[in-house]
Amino acid sequence: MKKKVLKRMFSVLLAGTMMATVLTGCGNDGGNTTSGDSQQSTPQESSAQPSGDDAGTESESQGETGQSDEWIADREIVLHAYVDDIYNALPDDQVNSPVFKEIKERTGIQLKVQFTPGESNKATLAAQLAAGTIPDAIVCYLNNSARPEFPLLYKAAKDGLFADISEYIPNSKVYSKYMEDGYLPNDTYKNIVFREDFDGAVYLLHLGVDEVDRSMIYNPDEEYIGGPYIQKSIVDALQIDPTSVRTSEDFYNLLVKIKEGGFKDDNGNDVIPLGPKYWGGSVDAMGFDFRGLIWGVSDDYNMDENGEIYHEAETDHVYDLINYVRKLLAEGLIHQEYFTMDETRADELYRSHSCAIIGDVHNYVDIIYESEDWIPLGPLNDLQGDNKTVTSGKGGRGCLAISADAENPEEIFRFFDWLSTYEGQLLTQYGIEGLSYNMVDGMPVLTDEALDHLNKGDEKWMWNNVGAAFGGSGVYLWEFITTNKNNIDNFGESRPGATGGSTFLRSVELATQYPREYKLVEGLGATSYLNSEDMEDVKAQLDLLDYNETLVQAIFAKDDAEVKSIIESFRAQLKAAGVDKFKEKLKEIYNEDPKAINFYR
Amino acid sequence: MKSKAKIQKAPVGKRIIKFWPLYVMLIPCVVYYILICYVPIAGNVLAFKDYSFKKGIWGSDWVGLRYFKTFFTGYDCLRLIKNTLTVGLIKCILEFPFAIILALMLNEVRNMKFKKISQTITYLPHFLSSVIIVTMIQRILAPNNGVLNQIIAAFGGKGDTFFLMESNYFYPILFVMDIWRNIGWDSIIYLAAIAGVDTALYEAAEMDGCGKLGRIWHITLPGIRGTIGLLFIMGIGGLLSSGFEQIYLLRTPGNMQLADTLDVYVVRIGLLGGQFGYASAIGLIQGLVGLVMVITANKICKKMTEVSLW
Amino acid sequence: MSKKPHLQTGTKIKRNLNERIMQAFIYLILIAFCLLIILPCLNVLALSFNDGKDAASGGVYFWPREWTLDNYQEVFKDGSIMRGYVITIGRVVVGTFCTLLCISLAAFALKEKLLPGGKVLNFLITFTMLFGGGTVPTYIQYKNLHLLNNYLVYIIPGLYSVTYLMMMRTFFEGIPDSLEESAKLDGCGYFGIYAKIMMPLSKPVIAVVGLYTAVGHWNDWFSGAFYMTDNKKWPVQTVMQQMLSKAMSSEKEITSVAQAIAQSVGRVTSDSLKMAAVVITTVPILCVYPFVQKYFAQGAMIGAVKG
Repeated sequence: MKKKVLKRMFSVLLAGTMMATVLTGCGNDGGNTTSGDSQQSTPQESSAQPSGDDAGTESESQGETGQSDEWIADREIVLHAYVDDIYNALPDDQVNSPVFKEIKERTGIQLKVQFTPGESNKATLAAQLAAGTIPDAIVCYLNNSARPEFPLLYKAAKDGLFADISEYIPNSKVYSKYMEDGYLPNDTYKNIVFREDFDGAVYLLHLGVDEVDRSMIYNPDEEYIGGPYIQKSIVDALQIDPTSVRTSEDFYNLLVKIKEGGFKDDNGNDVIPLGPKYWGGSVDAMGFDFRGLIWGVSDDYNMDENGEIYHEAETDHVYDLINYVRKLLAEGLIHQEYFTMDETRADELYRSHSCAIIGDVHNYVDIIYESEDWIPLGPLNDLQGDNKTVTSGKGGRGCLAISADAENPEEIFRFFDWLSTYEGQLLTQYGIEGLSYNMVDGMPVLTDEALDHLNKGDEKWMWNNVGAAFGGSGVYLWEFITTNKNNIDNFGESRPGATGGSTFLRSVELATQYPREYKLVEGLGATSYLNSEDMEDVKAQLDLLDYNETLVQAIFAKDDAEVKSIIESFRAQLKAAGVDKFKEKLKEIYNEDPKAINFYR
Repeated sequence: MKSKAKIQKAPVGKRIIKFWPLYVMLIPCVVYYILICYVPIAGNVLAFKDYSFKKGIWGSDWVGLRYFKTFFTGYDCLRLIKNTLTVGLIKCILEFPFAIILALMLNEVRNMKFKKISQTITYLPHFLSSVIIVTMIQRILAPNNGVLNQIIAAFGGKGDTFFLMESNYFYPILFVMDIWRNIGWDSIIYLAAIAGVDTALYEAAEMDGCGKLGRIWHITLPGIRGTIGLLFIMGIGGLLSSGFEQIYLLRTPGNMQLADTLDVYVVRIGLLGGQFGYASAIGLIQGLVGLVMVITANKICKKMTEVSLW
Repeated sequence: MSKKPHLQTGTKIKRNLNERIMQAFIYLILIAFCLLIILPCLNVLALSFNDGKDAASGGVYFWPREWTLDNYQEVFKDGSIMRGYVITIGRVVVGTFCTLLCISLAAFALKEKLLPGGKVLNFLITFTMLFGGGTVPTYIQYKNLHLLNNYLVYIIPGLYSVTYLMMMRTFFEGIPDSLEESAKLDGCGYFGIYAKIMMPLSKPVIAVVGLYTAVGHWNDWFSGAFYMTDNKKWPVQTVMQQMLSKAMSSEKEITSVAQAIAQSVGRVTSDSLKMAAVVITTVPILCVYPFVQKYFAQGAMIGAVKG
């Protein structure tokens, strides 16, 4: 009976373009245009369902020998994006957006992006991997192998869900660079792309790796200044230098001064000195606002002067932090909803200038660059006593994987490779020549029309009338799925419209006025080492513990005795979860290679 | 009546033949429940397996009771169960009568226009998305400048209570919010049931000198006891699965000691962490407890109201 | 009531007084409760008619400060909303009809206490209410049934519901057997009884199940988001869900300026715009209720039985 129903359902199934993803291999493989290499690697798809519904997704690639070397194949590639920034900035009609059309013309590839809104990206990724319903390729966030998505991707790769692309890399235009010594960051090379336990296979491609490592160079055009921001009028009234606020004491004194200053907001209410993160209350902002008191710099872990590794909660540093924030709360120096306020209300709070200091925001948020009301504060010193911004060096941003069931994965790989070439980047960043940019002295310059739309923040125009990335203001997809970027050398500016655009003038101005210094701390966050197989049980238990929430609980405790009992109980839970076993492991790894974990003090 | 008795005595085979049109009516239902429900339910074997993406549900390796062991030996297992039970009791039992009361009240309203309008209004909150509700709740409950605190201050109180951060306000807030959001919607079914009560009975009762309250007590309530019993049995099955969304909205570090329920836990640990086996195991536990509750409730209801699910 | 004969004894006056008090009490509670609901909803309405930038500075409560229709225009400009509407209305109509037909047939059959196997079926159906399949097995099964990316995924999984099925069954059980018996004597088969007796007499329960189902269809954004990869086939609620969730993109760390810019672009959806979207997607389904309400009037059903 089941079969019958299946059959019936199948017959009603709409024969759409998506059939290609549901049924493996309808139509023939159009990869015969490949320039000679590795034909044998194409999985020999037996057409399990020689149904008549292929609905013209695969028209014959008719004798493309005369085509340029950009031509790949006449086909569609379906990409699932588990990245909300990507799907919040797509053209309404992907087929007819000029850049998508141009790509189709040049390479034959019609890229189609699909997505799942309204759910956590990670949960969707997990469910779809588990159900085995990924289309030709997927992209998701992956700054480094410590991201929470990584264990999922790793498991999927191990389980054979992704196509092995190792054979295509050496002959590729851009990704061949990944094999060069020192091109990829250590973590990317060792833990993501060329993993030893993949036995020579490559399943995951790290995206968004810069061609040249500029992570230690401060270029105001290319910097976002994160951390606390303070109202300029208050700075002026108090006659202080916001960059001179360095230590926790300085910060406390400033808050007291603000409170005593008796400032009023737009509605005539008292200004509260310190407010939550701009995107809503969160513990994250503590990393900036109470920076000097944070000891566990590597996912709450660190190594003390005796070479012993501890979780921050196991040390007395945790009490310094808690007591400091408790003092601020008791004296009314910090907004009570610093940790919990929802986004809409936080926005409201700052639009009416109700807090003197935004706990955490950056210079590319409209509230900062659209007025001169806010300027960066600090940055504060960290536990090392300097206020340099920590960087882990060159990094990546996202991860690309091609489905093992995808038809002719080589074409898909070549397509993504092409996107990262100079031609691909020029097209996807600047759009169509004559429409959105012109070449001047060998460099692309945005047309006045494009610049005008860019300055107005008219993203609909950028999505639908051009379809290019414009450095993140337009179709962010391109920004995300390309790699080997070097806008300054390639296009003469850090991003389209950086010279001549007005939207982000203030952002750059702030970055210029309040420069930061960098310091390099190599290695991954400690918890990324929980992902190895021998740590499975410990991970399962540790995952249940939420240190941040415990902190907030302790901060809002009634009295010191309760603080103590909360922390003590957390320590006991850490022990019970097997933190000692984990620390042993960390120690081993650290002794072998101190650069593997980003401890510092 | 005679024919009924005859059928009752008839052997099963005869009855099957006699009822064949009814079986025809049930065919789509059976197909549906097999394909859409039972096949996925069989997927609950994941609770005993280490799920491998490639091998799929049936091919993955068995791990026995590992997930159950992890759960029951976990340090906060007891707390989770206690929280879940408390929330379940609030939602399944404490809130249960309110929708009935609202329906009874609406039924007593004589002005038809007012009745229609208030009915429509009470079911409005069902349509508000949770993203909006959370902002509203925060606006109302914020310390100092929240609406509630301002009211308290206006009456001479201190008005600086951080309701969402104090665990002893968690259950009351949950309770009120739930009632606010659901009773209008839930009362619709009771209104329909009340509509089915024979009006002649009311007239007779009035003749007998029954007051309004008396009529409600002696006629309306018994008249809708079938619906009440049914919804009660249905509700009680969800004792351990009280939903994720609402609680997640109210969850703050201050009240998480109480707000961590099994459903929240499954989402937090199981799905976001990709631990499907673990999530299935907890789902099984919830289902088993629900099953026991439903069977018990069904027995009790059968005795008291002659309503029975099976 | 006031036209009753003038035989007012002491108790009767007292009873009238009591009833007056009770009525007043009921009105008072209902008005208070309605206010509690209407005020926040007014806030939504006011925000939706207020200029987005202006609203962000707070203080807009029950009346817009800077009137504008821009938010509505903006929402409607997005073609996907209109397309979503068509899909939603389609699924509400088709889905509700199919559900009512399927459930009422099943409920009619299951109501027969003597039906061999009926008890087991009832139990097995209730069982599905307690044990779900979980995300992954469900997903895989839908895939196997070729429901993914198929409009049928809006209709089929929601065809039956334990609660509604049991609700209808209970209602059917309440209809006097005598009616059925007499129909049988008139030579009616089961299908005839179903069509000629059960359906006309069950208007209240059909109305309520129909309403619940229709609203369920209307509100369901999940199946669109999860089982429909082609966003051109999304119902209006899924489209709106994307709008509403745009803001919640804090799950990643920012690593580049481009990302920082993209993040602030994604946030452009103002609160007012969201509220306008909420209003647009809520009002149509609200209008359905008054049409259903008349079936809940006291005596609607039994009157029909007797007449």
